[in-house]
Order: sequence, then structure tokens, then C-alpha cells
Amino acid sequence: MSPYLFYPLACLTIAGALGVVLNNNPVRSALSLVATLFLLAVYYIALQAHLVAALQIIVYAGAVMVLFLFVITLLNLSPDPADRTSPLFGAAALGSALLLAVVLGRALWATTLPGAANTPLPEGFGTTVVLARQLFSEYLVAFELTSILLLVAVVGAVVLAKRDPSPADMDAPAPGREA
Amino acid sequence: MTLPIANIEVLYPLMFACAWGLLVLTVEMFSLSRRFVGIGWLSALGLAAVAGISLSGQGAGEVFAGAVALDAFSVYFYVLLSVLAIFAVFLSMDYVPLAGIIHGEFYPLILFAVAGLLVMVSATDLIVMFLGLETMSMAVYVLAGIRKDELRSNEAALKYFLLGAFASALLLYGIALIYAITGSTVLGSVANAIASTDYLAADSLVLMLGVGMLLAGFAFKIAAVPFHLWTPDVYEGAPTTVSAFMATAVKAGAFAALLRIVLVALAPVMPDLSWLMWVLAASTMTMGNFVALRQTNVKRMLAYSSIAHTGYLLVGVTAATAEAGAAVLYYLAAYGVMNIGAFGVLAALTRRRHALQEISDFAGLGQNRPVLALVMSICMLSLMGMPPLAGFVGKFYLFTAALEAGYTVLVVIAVLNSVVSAAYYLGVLRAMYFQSADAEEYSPRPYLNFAVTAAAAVTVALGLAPSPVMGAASRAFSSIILGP
Amino acid sequence: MVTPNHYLALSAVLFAIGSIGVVVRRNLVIIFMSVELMLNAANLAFVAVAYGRGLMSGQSIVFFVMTVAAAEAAVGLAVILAMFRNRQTVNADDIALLRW
Repeated sequence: MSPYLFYPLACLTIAGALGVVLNNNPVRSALSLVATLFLLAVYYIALQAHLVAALQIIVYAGAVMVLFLFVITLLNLSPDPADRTSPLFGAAALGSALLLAVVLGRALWATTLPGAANTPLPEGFGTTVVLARQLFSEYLVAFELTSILLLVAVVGAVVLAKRDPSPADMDAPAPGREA
Repeated sequence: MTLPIANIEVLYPLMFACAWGLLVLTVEMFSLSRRFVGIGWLSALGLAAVAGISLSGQGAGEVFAGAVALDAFSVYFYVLLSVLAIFAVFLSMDYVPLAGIIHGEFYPLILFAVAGLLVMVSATDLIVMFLGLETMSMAVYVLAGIRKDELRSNEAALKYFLLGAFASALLLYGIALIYAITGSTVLGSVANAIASTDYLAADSLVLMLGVGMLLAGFAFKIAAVPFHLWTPDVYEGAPTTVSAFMATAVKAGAFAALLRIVLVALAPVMPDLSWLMWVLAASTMTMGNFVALRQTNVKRMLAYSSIAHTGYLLVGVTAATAEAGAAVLYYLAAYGVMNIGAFGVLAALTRRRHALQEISDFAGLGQNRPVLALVMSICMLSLMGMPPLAGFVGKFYLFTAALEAGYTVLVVIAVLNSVVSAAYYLGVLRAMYFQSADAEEYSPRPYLNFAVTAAAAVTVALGLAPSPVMGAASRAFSSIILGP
Repeated sequence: MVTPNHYLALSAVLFAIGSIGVVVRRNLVIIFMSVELMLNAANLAFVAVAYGRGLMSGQSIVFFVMTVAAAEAAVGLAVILAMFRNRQTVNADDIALLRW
């Protein structure tokens, strides 16, 4: 990726991330996150991770963020002016986050990745075929484990989100009933 | 393309645990009784089978696809976790209807949490470990919040979830940094890469930050200071038997994974970081014990006591010798059964959907329910470290190993802490035997009574005859140090 | 020239922004989105390292992290929903029933 493309995009990404954190309105926060996730997909393409980029847009920016927006609208969340911690605490948190970003960013900037500049990428790097082979050999256990992980998440989400026929639940106020 | 099915026996206990979880999930849908006692039996049976399969399949040190190893260490924790989960299931068989839990998914979720824990303790790849951790966490978040009409249960789930997700993100970024420096997530390769390379300043800073984030993520899961703040609230708000599961099995699993990482992958850098573990251990036990002194709610007191015990266990991790490691493994087993007993007594005192939790609720228990009071006394005395119970033997092994490794000051702090802790453990005993209250009517709770009595019996037995478990613990520990 | 280190540094900045969001914000949904941001920062680091070192494993790992994030989103939003039904708030400060 050329620097003339990278730096403007990096600024946009950081702006998007700040938008997630600083917006008072949860819907705007979520939309900023969607924008950030899209921009990350652009980097993935530049880094030869084509399948990952596609998944990022379809699964992450698509499915996961739709779920977020769905819940935000379901709960009818409005901007909350009280949503701030005390200025002192906020300043301390900001300071430590800046420190983290500077120290970590500088260190990562200077770190050496063997093969970064001189050696060419292995053949087929980033193709779906190579990724799939790896998922079904080296990462077979991990891959199978994700099926259990997703099953647990589905069962758990249903247990927590479905309405029970218990008296206490019947008395619950209206919002959320449309679920 | 060939699938790596050469050593598939290594996966049998895991595959069985997952398959049994699916089976129980299916059977539960057709359960006629809303008390789910049969489902509980079925789950306990499956867990016992997991322990049996892992014992019979001692494929010592064999690794499946570089991801999971069934060495003596894994087998030790497979058995320990299955036993602790069986205890939790037996406690739940009476507690689930008492607490008004109407979801039969309770038991399958425990089984899936156990499956996640099994992956965690046997994983030899950081990413597989991370996935096991997430599978377990996902199930436990739901279990903590399964009493949906209870605000406290909601909040416990929420707090555990948000802090847990944050901890996972820290952990993952730590893994990313380590991957950046070493180019691998496999524990052995990480260790080789760290040991064989001379790093520039920037690289070693990235590596240290990565290790720090990884340790911080684990500190959340084992409830070490300063990442312990969720513990009392979550233990208090979650259903009591789920708290018992979290305080024992989840903690044992997280410690096992931590030991593997610290002693295998990070072995080359740990000598530089022993001061950090030292500070963690000292502050965790001191903080836990002193705050526990001020608690009047027994569940919260047990939560702080569990933080203090994390501190004692970290003493062993700091020392990092073979004896200290074996002592940590033994202490995890001892701590597990005695804590199951203590939480079990709390669950047994549940009345009209609410657990009695204040120390004053224990008044007169010595006269009204002598067996429960005896069990509680054994567990409290053992947690305190009274000979000849399991807690004493565990502490003895831990502290002598740390002394031999030269951590005299740390051991002095730990012993002083144990003395302080006597105050709050004995407070419960005083309420039970020296205060009186009117007898209450209780419905019969056969499974609960059986489980707590068994836990107390095991606590005594582990104290009187520690050598079989201690032998298994030291074999287990040496298998990760010398093994592949 | 843009090297993988540029991406790594960017991921560090995103991670820091996400972590400050978790600490400073009190809206539970926004805290959760900040956690998602942190996970994405880790993903960017994995992909950048994969490119820099010519290792495919980084890309496989991202695949798993996305799965974890999706599972977390499902469970997390269900937890928030269950909470909201009992008590009409998503503000972390209002949840003082259990002491911090």
C-alpha cells in the first residue's frame, strides 16, 4: 500500500475508533464501529489476506454489527448525557491510554519482523486454498472447537434471551416484549 | 491433503465430553420432570466416564497436531476437573429446583464448560488455549445469569461478562505481541524462539508487554489483585452451585493453563519476572484476607477467601521449582474439595429460593443441623490450614517448597496471612456452635447432603493420606517440564 | 514505503483507544463495542505479522478470533437484554446493587 493511501486511511480509522468511544449516541457509536471495521478490511486486502477481508465485511461488519444495532434499537437506547466518568478519572485514563499507545506503538514500529523486507512471500500466500488447508490440518482441533463454542453461544443466548412463563417475568415492563 | 489423525486417542476424553454434552442437551429437551434430577445423574455419569477415559488412555506426552497433549499433567487435571464438576452437579441436583432454575440447559452448559476447561489445561498452542478459555467462559457467563428474574444474577452475569470479555481482549493482544516477536503460538516453539534469539531493545519491550498482557488476562480469570474486583459480586450474585464451580473448577483450569504458559512457553523470561509474580502473590493474599475480615456475608467472605487462596497458589508459581509446582497441583485439588464443601453448605441452607448468606444465619446450626455444621467446620478449618486437614498439608508443601527456593520473606507474609484468616473462618464456627437460634424446617435434600459430606470426607482423607495425590501431582508436574 | 510495522503501530493505537473506551464509558453497549475494537486491533496485528513473516498461521488465527467475537456478541447482548428486562438501564453506574 502506498503511503499516500495508508496515512489518510489510518487517520480515518483512528477517527472511526474515536467515534466509537466518544459518541454519546450508541447508534452513532455502532456506525463508527462499522466504518472502522470496513477500513480494517481494506488493510487486510493490502496485506494479502483476501479471505479474511471478505469475512471481515460479511461476518463482522455485516452480521455482528447488525446484531449490535438490532439490540440498540430494541432497547431503544437514547443518548445519555450522564454517561461520563469524573473528569479526574477520565484524564487519568486518557493519560494511561496515551502512554500505552505511545510506548506500544513506538516499540512495534521499531520491532524487526524477519522477512519483512527482503524475502518474497511464499507461493499461494493468502489464498483460500492455503488457508483452508491450514484450518483442516494444523488448526483442526481449534476449528472443531469453534463449533462447540458457537453451539454454547447459541444455547446460552437462547436461554438468556427467551421469555419465561414465570410470574415474575410476566410482570416485566413492556420494552423488549417484541423480542 | 492428509488429516492429522495419527494420535487421535489423545482427543478421546475431549471428544467424549463434547459428545456427552450434546447428548445431555438433546435428552434434556424431552425431560418430563422440571426438577431435572435424571439429567443431573446423566451428566455426572458422563463426567465420571471422562475421568475414566483419561485415566485409561495415559498416552503420556502424545500430542495431537501440535495443539493438544495428553501428558500426565493433562490427565491429572482431567480427573480433578471431572471430580469437581461431579460435585457441582450433585450439589445442583437439589439446588436447581430450590433456587427456581427452570432451564434444563443448566447441566449441558456445565458439561460444555468442563469441555472448555479440558481444552485449556491440555492445550499446547496459545490459540487453542484461548478458544478453550472462551468456550468455558461463554458457558459460565450464561450459568451465572441463569436466574433471569433475579436482578443479582443478571448483574453477576453482566459484570463477569464485561470484565471477562475485556480480559480476553487483553489476553489476545498479548498473544498477538508474542506472535509478532516469536512467529509462533505453539508453546514449545515460543520458548525456543525466545531462548535462541538475542533481542533488540524494541523487540524485548514488545515481548515484555505481550507477556504482561497475557498475565493480566489470566490474573482476571484466577482473581488475582488488582484484577479481582469482580469476584465477590459475581460469586454472590451467581447461583450458589455455579459459584462453587467457578471458585474451584474454573480456578483450577485457569491455574493449569497459567502454569503451562509460565513454565513452558515463557520459561526463558520468567526469571526476569519472578519479582512481578512475587508482588502479585503477596498483594493478592494480603488484600483477600484483610477484606474478608470485614465481611458479614458468608458468600462474599468465601469469595475474598478464594482471592487469598489465589495468592497462596501464586507463591508456588513464583517459586517455580518441581516441588513447588507439585504443591500447587495438590493444593488446587485440596482447595477444590474443601471449597465445594463450604459452598455446598451454603446451597443446603437455601430457603424459599434464597440462600441464607449472612454469618448470623449460621447461628445455632450446631444444634439444629449437626451434620451440616460439622461439614462446614471441617471446610473452614481446612481453608484456615488446621492440621491434619487437606488445607494444612497443601500449605505445608507449598510453603516449604517456596522456602527451599529462597523466598523466605514471601513465606513469612503467607504464614502471617494464614494466621489473620483464622479470624474470619473461626467467626463462622462461633456462630454455629456458640449462638443459638430456632430450628427451621427443611425439605429433604439428599444429593446436597451426600455431596457436602463426601467433600468433607475427601478433605479429611486428603489430609491424612496425601501421598497418592501428591505423587500424581509431582508426576504430572514433571511431565510438562521434561516432556515435549 | 509502508511496512508491516506501520500496521502494527496502527493496531497499538486502536487497542489503546478501545481500552480507554472500556474504562471511561458507562454505557454497557458502548463498553462492549470498545472490547470489539480491542479484538479488531489484535486481528490487525495478527494479519500484519502474518504478512511480515510470510506465515499463514496469523490469518487462520484471525478466523478464530472472528468466531469468538461473534459468539461473544450473541451471549453478551443476551446478557444485556436479560438485565434490561429486569431493570430499565444500560448504565454501569446504575448497577450498584452489588458493590464494586
